[in-house]
Amino acid sequence: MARTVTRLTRFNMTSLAAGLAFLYLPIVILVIYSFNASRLVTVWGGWSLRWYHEFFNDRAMLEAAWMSLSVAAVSATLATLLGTLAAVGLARGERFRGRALFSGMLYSPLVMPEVISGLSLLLLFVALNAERGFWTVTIAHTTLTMCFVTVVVQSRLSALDRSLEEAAMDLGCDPVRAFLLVTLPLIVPAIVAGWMLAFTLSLDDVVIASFTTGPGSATLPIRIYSEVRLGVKPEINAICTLAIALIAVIIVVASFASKLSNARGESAAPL
Amino acid sequence: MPLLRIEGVAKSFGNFRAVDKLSLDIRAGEFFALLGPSGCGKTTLLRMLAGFETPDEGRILLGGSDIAQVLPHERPVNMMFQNYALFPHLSVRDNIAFGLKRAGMARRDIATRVAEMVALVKLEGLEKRKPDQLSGGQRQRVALARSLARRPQVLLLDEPLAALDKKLRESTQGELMELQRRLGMTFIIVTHDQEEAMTMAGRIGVMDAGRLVQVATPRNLYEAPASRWIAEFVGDINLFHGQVAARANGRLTVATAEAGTLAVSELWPPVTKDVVSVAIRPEKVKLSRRAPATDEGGTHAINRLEGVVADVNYLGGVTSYRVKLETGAVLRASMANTARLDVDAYLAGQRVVAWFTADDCLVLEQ
Amino acid sequence: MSARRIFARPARLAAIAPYLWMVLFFLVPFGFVLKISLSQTAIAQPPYTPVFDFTAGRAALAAAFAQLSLDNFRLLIQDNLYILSYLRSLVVAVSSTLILLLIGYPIAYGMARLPQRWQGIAMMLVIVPFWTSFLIRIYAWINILQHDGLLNQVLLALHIVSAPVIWLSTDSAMYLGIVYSYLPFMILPLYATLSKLDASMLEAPAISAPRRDRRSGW
Repeated sequence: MARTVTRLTRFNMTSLAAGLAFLYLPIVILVIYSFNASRLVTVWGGWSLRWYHEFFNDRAMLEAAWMSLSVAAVSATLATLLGTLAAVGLARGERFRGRALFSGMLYSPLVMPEVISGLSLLLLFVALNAERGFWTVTIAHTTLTMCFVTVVVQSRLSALDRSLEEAAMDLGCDPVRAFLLVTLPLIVPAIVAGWMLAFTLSLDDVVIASFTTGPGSATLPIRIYSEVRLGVKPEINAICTLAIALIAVIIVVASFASKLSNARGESAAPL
Repeated sequence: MPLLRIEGVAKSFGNFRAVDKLSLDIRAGEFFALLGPSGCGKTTLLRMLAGFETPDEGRILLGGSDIAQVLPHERPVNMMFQNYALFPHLSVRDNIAFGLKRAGMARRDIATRVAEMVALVKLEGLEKRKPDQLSGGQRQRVALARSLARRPQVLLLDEPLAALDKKLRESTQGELMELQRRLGMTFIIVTHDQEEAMTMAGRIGVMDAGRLVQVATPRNLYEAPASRWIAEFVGDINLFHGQVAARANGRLTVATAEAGTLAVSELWPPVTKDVVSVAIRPEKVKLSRRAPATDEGGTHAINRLEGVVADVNYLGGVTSYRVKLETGAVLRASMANTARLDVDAYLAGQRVVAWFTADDCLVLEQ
Repeated sequence: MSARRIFARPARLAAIAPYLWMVLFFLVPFGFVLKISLSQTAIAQPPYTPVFDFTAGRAALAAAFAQLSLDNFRLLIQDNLYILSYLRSLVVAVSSTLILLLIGYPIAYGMARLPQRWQGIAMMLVIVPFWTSFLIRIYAWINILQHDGLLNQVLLALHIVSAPVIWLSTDSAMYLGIVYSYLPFMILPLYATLSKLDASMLEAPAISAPRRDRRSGW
C-alpha cells in the first residue's frame, strides 16, 4: 500500500516537473537568447548585453515603451478610482434605479471580445472628432480595466463584516466617515491589487490600443506585434525579458498585498 | 418617568412582522434582559434602540425625547456587538479611543479615559496589540471597553457572551454585573440563554413572535410564568392538561387525564377558563418509597402519584428522575444531591410515590 | 430606515462618476456598433447607410431608422463561410479544452500534493506566466518553431529529419499555442479545488481576477 502511494507521488512529481518545464522552456529560451551576442537568433555567439544596448538606443522602441508605461500608469490610476467608486455603489448602494444597467455595463466588457470594445470606441472617437493618441488609448484602457477593479474591490467589500461599519456609526461616525475610517483601510489591499491588475492589463493590450491610437503613437505591444510579423529580432527578446522581469516583480508585491488583505479579513470575521 | 420608554413600536421586514406594537419601560440604572428564542424580534428591538433600524410605528423616548428617527451616530446610546466588531486595523487603544475622537474630546482627556477603561476591563499591557493578537475573552473586554468609553446613557449588549466558552462565560457574567453596579449605568442585554438572563438581569422581558409576553423579575418569571409557553421556555416543567372540576377556598381541583385529580392553589388573577394546564417544576416533585400522611381539607393538600422510576440521570449537583405513571405519562423530578453517599437514591425500575403540594403547582390557561 | 439604507445614499452618489463614464465610453459606443450592424454597406464615407443626422429633423431621422435592416445578420446565417468558421472555432475550442484538461489535471494534482511550503512556490510559478503578456509568451515560441529555430536545429542534429520542417502557421502550432497560453487558466482553478483552498484564498485577486479570454488573432 505504501509503495503505491510512493509511486503515485513520483508520478505526480514527474508530471508537475514536466508541466512547469513546458510552461517555462520557451520563456527560458527567450531570456537566454536575449543575451545572445549573435544577430542570428539561432546561432549562439556568446553572452552579451548587445540587444539591451540596442533597445536603449532605439528611439522609436523607447518612445513606444514610454507611451505604454504612461498609458498604463494613468489608466490604472483612473480605473482604480472609478472602479472603487463603482464597487462601493454596487456593494453598498442596495437597490436603486438603473442598477441592473450599471452592473451590466461593468460586467460586459469582461466577456466582450476586445475587437468590439476597440471598434466601438474608435467609432465614438471618430464621431467626436477626437485626435487619437495618448488620451484616447488611456480612456479606452480605463474603460476596460475599471471593470476588473470593480470586480476585485466589490468582492472584498461584500466579504467585509458589515457590523464593522455599524460599530463605527454607533461610535459617532456618519456613513462617509465610517467608510473613510474603517472600510477604506480594510480594502486598501484589494485596491492595490486592482491597480496592479489594471496596470498589467493595459501594458498587455494590443487590440484595443491598435483601434484607439493614432499615427505616430504606437504602444510597445503594437510595435512588438508589427516587428514580429517581419520575423524574429533579437532586440524583441531583450524587451520581452524586461517585461517578464517587471511582471514577476509586480506579482511578488501583489501576492504580498493580498496575503496582508487575507490576514486582515480573517480577524474581521466573527469568532 | 423611566429613562427609556418604548411606546407601541412596530417593525416589519416585508411581510414578516419582527416587532409587533411593543411597549416597555426601562428605569435608569437597571440591568434588563430581553430573552426569547431566535427570530422572536429581540435583536430587531435592540437594533432599533441603537438606531440601526427605524420603527415603522411608535416612539422611543430616551430621557423624555423621541429618538426613534435619530441616526445611530447621534444617539447617546452605545452597543456591544455579538461578534464584537473590533476594528482589525486598529490597536486596542485606538479601538477604545475611536468613539472619543469622534466626540471631539481633547487628546489628554482621551488618554485618561482610555487608561481608565483599560484598567476597568483589566487589559493593562495589551494596549498596543491588534485584535487578532488577542484571545476571545480579551477581545470581548476590548469590545466592552470601547462601548463603555463614551459613557452612554444606555449600553446595549447583543449576546455579549455567546462566543465565550462555558467557564469564561460564567466568570464574565459576574464581572459584567459588578461593572454595571459600579458604574450605575443602564444595561439592556439580548440573549437566548435563560440562565444568563436570570443570573445577570434585575428584570427580564420575554419575547415571542415580536411581542413582549411577560416582564418580570427572574424569580417571578420562573415561579409564576404568565403562560404555558413561558413556563415551558424558561426551565423544565411537567404539564398536565385537564378541566377545572371544583373551586373552593382559593383552591382548584383539576381533573387531568394523565395524572388523575390534582389540587392546585389558585393564583391572582384567577383563571377564567375551565380548560387549563397544571404545571409543576421537577425540583418541586418529591419522591418517596411510601406515601406521605395526608391532610385532607387542610392547607397543605398533597398530590400523590404512583409510578415506576424509568431512568435516573446523575448530573453532579442534582439527580433527575423520570417516573412513569400508571397512565403511561412521564413525570420528571429532580433532587439535590445533598450528601456525598446517598444510600437512599432511587434505582430504575423501583416503585415510588411522587408527591407535591398544591402550593407548588401552577394552573395555567391555554 | 435601516443601517444599510443609511449607507446606501452616499454609496449611490459615489457611483455617479463611474456610471457616467460607462454610459459615455461603453454604452454610447456600443450603440454605434449596433447601428452599423443594422446598416447597409455603401461605397461612401462613412462606408454604410443610413447616416443619422440629428440636425436634419424628425422626418429625416425616422426615414433613416426605417432603412435599418437585419440584412447583415441574415448574411451571417445564410453564408456557409461564417457557419463553417463558427463550427471550426467550436471544434478547436472543445478539443483544446480536452487536451488542456489532460495536461493540466496531473500538474494541478501534483501541486496539491506538494508539502505546504512548496505549494506557494509552485503556485507562484504558475501565476507568473498567467500574468505575462500573451504576445510575449507566443513570441517565445516563435524562437523555437521558426524555420531555422531551435526545434528544427535539434531535429536536424539528431538526424530525425533531413530538411527543416515548417511548423509555424500549421494546425499543430495553433493547438500548441492555445494549449500553452491557456494552461495556467486550467491549472489554477483545478489546483484551487483539489487543495481545498478556503474561500478567502480564492478571493485573492491574483487568482480569481477573471482574465478574459483574449482572442488577439493568434
